[in-house]
Amino acid sequence: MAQTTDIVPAVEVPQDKTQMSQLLWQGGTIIALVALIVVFGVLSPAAFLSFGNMTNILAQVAILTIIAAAQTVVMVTGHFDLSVGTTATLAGATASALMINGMPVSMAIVVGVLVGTLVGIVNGILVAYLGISAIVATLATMTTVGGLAFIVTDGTTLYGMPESFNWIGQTRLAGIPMPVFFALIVAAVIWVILRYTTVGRRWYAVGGNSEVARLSGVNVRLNVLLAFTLAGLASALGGIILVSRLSSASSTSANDYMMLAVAAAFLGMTLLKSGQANIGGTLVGVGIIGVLQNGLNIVGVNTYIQQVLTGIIIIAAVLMSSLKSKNA
Amino acid sequence: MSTATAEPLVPQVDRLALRAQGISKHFEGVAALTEARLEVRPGEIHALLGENGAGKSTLIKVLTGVHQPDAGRIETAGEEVRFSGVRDAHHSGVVALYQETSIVPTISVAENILLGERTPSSGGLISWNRLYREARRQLDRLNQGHIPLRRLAGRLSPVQQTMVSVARALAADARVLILDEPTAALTDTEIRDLFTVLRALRADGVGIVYVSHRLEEVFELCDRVTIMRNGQTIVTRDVAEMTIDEVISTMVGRSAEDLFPERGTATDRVVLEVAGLRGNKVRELSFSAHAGEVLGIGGLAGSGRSELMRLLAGDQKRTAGTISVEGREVTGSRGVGRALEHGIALVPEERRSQGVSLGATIQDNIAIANLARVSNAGWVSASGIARLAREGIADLRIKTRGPRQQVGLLSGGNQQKVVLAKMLARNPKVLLLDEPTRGIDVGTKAEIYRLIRALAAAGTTIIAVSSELPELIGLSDRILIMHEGRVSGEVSAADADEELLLSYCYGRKA
Amino acid sequence: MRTRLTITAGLLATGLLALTGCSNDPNAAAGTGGAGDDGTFKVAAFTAGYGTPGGKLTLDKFVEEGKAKGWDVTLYTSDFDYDKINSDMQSAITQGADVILAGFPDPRQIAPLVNAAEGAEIPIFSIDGGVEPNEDFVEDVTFDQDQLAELTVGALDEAMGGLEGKDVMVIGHDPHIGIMTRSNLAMDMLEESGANIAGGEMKQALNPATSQEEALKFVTDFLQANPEGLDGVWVGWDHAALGAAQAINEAGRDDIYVTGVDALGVAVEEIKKDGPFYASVHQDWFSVVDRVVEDIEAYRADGTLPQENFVEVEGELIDRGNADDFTPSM
Repeated sequence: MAQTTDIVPAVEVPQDKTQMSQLLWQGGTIIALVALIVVFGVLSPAAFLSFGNMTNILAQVAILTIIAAAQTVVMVTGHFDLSVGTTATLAGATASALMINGMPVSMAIVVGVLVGTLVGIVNGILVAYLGISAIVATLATMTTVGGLAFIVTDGTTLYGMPESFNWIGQTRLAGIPMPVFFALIVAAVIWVILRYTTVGRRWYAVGGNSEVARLSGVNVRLNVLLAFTLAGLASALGGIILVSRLSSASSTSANDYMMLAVAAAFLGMTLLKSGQANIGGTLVGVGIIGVLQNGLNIVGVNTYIQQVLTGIIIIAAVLMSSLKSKNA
Repeated sequence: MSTATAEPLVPQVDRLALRAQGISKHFEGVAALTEARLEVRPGEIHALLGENGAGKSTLIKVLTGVHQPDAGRIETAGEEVRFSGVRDAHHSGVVALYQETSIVPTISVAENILLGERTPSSGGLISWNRLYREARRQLDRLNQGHIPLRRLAGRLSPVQQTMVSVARALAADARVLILDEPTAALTDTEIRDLFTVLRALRADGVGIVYVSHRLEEVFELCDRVTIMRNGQTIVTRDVAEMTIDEVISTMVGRSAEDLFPERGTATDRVVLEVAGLRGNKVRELSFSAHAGEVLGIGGLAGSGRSELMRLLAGDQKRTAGTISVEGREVTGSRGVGRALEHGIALVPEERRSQGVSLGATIQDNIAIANLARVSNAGWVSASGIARLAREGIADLRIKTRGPRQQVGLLSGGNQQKVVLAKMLARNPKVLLLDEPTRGIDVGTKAEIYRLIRALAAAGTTIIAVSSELPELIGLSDRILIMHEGRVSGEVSAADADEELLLSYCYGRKA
Repeated sequence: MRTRLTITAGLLATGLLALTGCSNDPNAAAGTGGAGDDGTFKVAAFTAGYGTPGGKLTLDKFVEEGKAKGWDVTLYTSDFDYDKINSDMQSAITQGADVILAGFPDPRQIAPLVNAAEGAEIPIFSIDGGVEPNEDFVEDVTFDQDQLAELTVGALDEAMGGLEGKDVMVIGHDPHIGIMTRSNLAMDMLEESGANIAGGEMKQALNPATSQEEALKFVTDFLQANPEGLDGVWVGWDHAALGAAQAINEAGRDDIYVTGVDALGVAVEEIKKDGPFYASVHQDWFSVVDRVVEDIEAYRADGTLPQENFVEVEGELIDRGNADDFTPSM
C-alpha cells in the first residue's frame, strides 16, 4: 500500500495555511507604529494629527534617520557599530571648529565628513583585517572618538558658525524643514546601494553567512571595510546637520543617537523573514521612536516615564517578531 | 511487506526497553507522524532509517520529550509514560545524543559527564573527589579511561566528545540511548572505537537506537531495523533478513535501480593540471584531470583530501606548485574569486555552514556567486537574479515554491541542489565537489549522481571527494587516494574494489 | 583567536590595576596641615563635571592660580563618574596631599573620599559643593541659589508683564544639585505669584550635554499641543534655554520669553537679539576661585581655617539692558 504512494514534499502545504498569521507577526513592528499613531491620535486628535505636528515629527527624527541608516549598513554585514554617535559628534564639532576659525563653510563640511569617513575606515580595518570583534573594536573607537570630540570642542560648546551654515539645519523648503530632505536623500541612497548594487548584495551575503560568501568568491574583508566606511561617512553627515540645526556643537551632541539608532535598526530587522537589517524596517523603527517621543510629550508624560516606555515598546515589538519565528 | 504486529516475540524478551505505538503528531495541520511505531529491546542496536523528512527526527523528539504527541502511547520497561519535557524522558532512562549539542565545550570532561543534578555536592559545594571518581568509573565502563578528566571537553576530538556524551547518558542510568548520525564527523578508526563501545553497551542490556544515512554501518552494527517513510513506520525486521537494495527500496518506496549512472564520458583533453602543489596538510601533489572525467579523491579524514579541494578553490594558501586550467596558470597564492575566474568552482563540504546561506532566498544564494552575470556596471538587475534562479530551479529540479523561498526551508537534498545551481551558473570548467551527498537521502543522492554524470558528459571536469568508498567507486572514472598529503594510489574505478582502496587509504603504496 | 586572547589578557591586567588602586589604605600616610615633608604644598583638586563648560573653565583657572602660588596642584577629572573620583582621591590622599579642592562636587556621592580625608586629617575646600552648609568641607563657596531663582523669575515677570495667571514651563535636571535647587525654588516662586506651571510639573532633561535638543523638542511639542498655553519658559541652565528659545523662534512666536542661568557667550548673543531669550545670570566663578585660593593660601601659611564653612555669593543678571557691555567668560 504505502509502497505505491508518491513522496509528497511536506513543506509546501503549511506555508499557505499560516500565511495570515505569518503576515501578522511579520508586520508586528508596523502594527506597533500604526497602533501608536492611533493611540496618540485618539488621546490628542487636534494637536497630534495636525499637519504641523507631522512635519514636526519628521524634523525631530531626521538626524536619527541618518545615523540609523548608517548603523543599518553595518548591521547588514552582520556587525555592529557602537561609534556612530560619537563619530557624528566629532564630525559636527570638527566642522564647526574649522568654520569658527575662518575656513569656508563648504570646506569645513568636507573635512568633517572626511573625519567621520576616517573613523569608519579605522573601524573597518580593526574588524575586517585585524579580526577584533565589532563590539570590542567599535566600543574602543567610540571612547576614543568621544575623547577627540572633547579635545576639538575643548570641553565647551562651540557656537558662532557663519549664518550660511544655518541653511542646512534651519531653513525650510515648501514648509518642510531642510534636515528632513537630507534624511530622505541619505536613506534613499543607502536603500538603493543595498538593494540595487552588487556591493549591497555582497554586504547582505556577508551578513547572512560570511563563509558562504567567501566560498562564493566574495572578498569578505574588503566588503566589511566598505560598510564601516560608509557608516562613518553617513554618521558624519548626521552630526554636521545636527550642529547646523542647533547652531552649536557641544562635546557630546550626538552621542545618545547611537542607542536609538541600534534600537531602530533592531526593530527594522523584525520586518524581514531572514531577520536581516534593512532600510525600510529601520525607517519604521525610527518612526516608532519618533512618534513615541513626540506623542508622549504632547500628551504630557514625564521624560523619565518616556524613557521607560521607549524601552518597553522596543522589547514588545521585537518580542512579537521573535514569537513569529518560533511559530513558523 | 511484513508488518510489525506480526513481529515474532523472542521468549526471553518479555519486556521491551521502549515501546511506542500509534504515535501521531501534526504541525500546523500537517501530519509529521501518522501512527508511527518503534520497539526497542534491551540489549539490541536498532537502526532507525528513512529519507530526510520521513519522520525520524520527529519521532525521536517525541520519544525524548521535546515534542508531545497528539496521539499514541509510549512505554518504558513495560509501563506507560508521558513526557512533558526532556527531563521526564531522562528520568525514564531515554536519552538522545545529538552531534553538536551534546557537550558543554567550556567545562571539564568530568563535569560534562556528571552535569546538572548529578554533580556530586555537599552543602552547595562541588565534591571534586567524588566527581572525578564517578566520572572515571563511567569512562572505564566504556573502556575510555585514557580520556583526561580535567581537560576542557571542547578540546577533545569528536569521537572523544561522543564518548563523553555516552558516558553522561550512562551516568544518568540511560536504558535507551538514541544516537543521531553519530559517525558524521568521525574518521574510520574512530568509528571502529565507537562501534566497540556500542557493542559493549548492548552486552550490558542498553537498548540503542541508531540513526544513520550510512547503510554499510547499519548492516555491520545493527540487529534490527525500523524503516520509516512519510511519517509512518513501514517495517521492522532483523537486519540479517534484509539486503541493502531491499532497505533502499523500502526507504524510497520504489525499487532502487542502479544508484550510479553509466560511466564513459571521459575524454583525453587535459583541463586541470596540478604540479608540485603544497599547502596546509598537502605535502606534494601532482595530477591532471580531463574534460568529461569524474575524478574521485579518497582518503581518511586528515589525509588532506578536503584541504586539497580548498587549495584548488583558492580558499587556502598555496605555498608551492602551480594550478592551471586549460593551460592558463592560476596566479596568486589564494583567492576564491580568482579561482572562479579561471573556471574552478567548489561545492564545499559543510552545506549548511559553507554552501548556502540558510536565511537568504534561493535567488540571492545563487546570485552571490554570479553577480557579474546579473549586473551591469555595479547595478544588479532584479529580473536577472530571478531569471538565473528559475533556470537553476528548472535545470536541477529543485522542489520549491519559487526563487524567493528561503533556503533554510528546503530539504537537505534541495539545499545541495541550490549550491550546485549557484556554482553551475558560472559554467565552471572544473567543478570541485566535497562530499556531494553527505546527509542527503537516498532518492536525492541518485538524482545528484545522474546530474554529476550529465555535467561530465557535457565536458565539465569533476573532482569529487567522498569518504564513502562505494560512492567513490560508483561515481568516478578514476580514483586518487590520498595519504598524509600525498597520493598513495591511483586506480581506474572500473578496477577498484573497497579492499584495494582501503589499503591505499592506510598508506600501502601500490 | 590569538587577538581575542590578547585583548582578554589586556582587560584582565587593567582590571587588576584598578583593583590595586582601590585597595590602597587611606590611612597609610597622614598629612598634618601646612606643607608636606618635602616642603612642597600638595593640592589634589577634582571635579566630575570637567565635561561642562563651567566646570572646565573654573578648575583650569584654579590650577593656574594655584601653580602661580607655587603649589603642586594635581587635577583629577571624570565625566560624572564618582567611583573613579573616589578611588583617584583615595590614592591622592595616600600619596600625601595636603589639601583637597572639590570642584562642583555632588555631596551625596563623595563619602568615601571624605572619610579618607578625615582619617588623614586633610581639609577639603569646595567650590559649589551644594546648597546648604556641610560639615564635610572646611569651606564651601557657592552661589546663592535663592538669589539666582529670584533674579530669573523677576526677569520673566518683567518680560511677560506680570506672573499672575501666566503659563510658564519649568525645565530642570534633578541629578544636578544646583539646578535642582534653583528649579524648585523658581517653581515655588512662580506658583506663589499666581503663575501656572505648564504641563502641571517640571520638565526633566535627561542629559545636560544633549539638553539643547531635548528642550527644543519639549517646547516644540508643547506648543503643538497647546498653542495658547505658554507665556514663558524658565530654564535652569543656558544650554537648554537655547533650545527652548529656538523652538519659540521656529514656531514664529514673539510673545513667549525664556530665561536661563550661566550667561554662556552663545546665550548672551541671543539676548542681544531682543528675541525670546530674555535674560540669564552670570556667575563669576573666577571671583569664587580667587576667594578659595586665598583661603587655601592662608591655611598653607599657618594652618588657619576659614571662619565660615558656607559662603554664598551673588550672581549678576544679564539682560537686554546690559548684555552689550558684558564679556562672557564661557
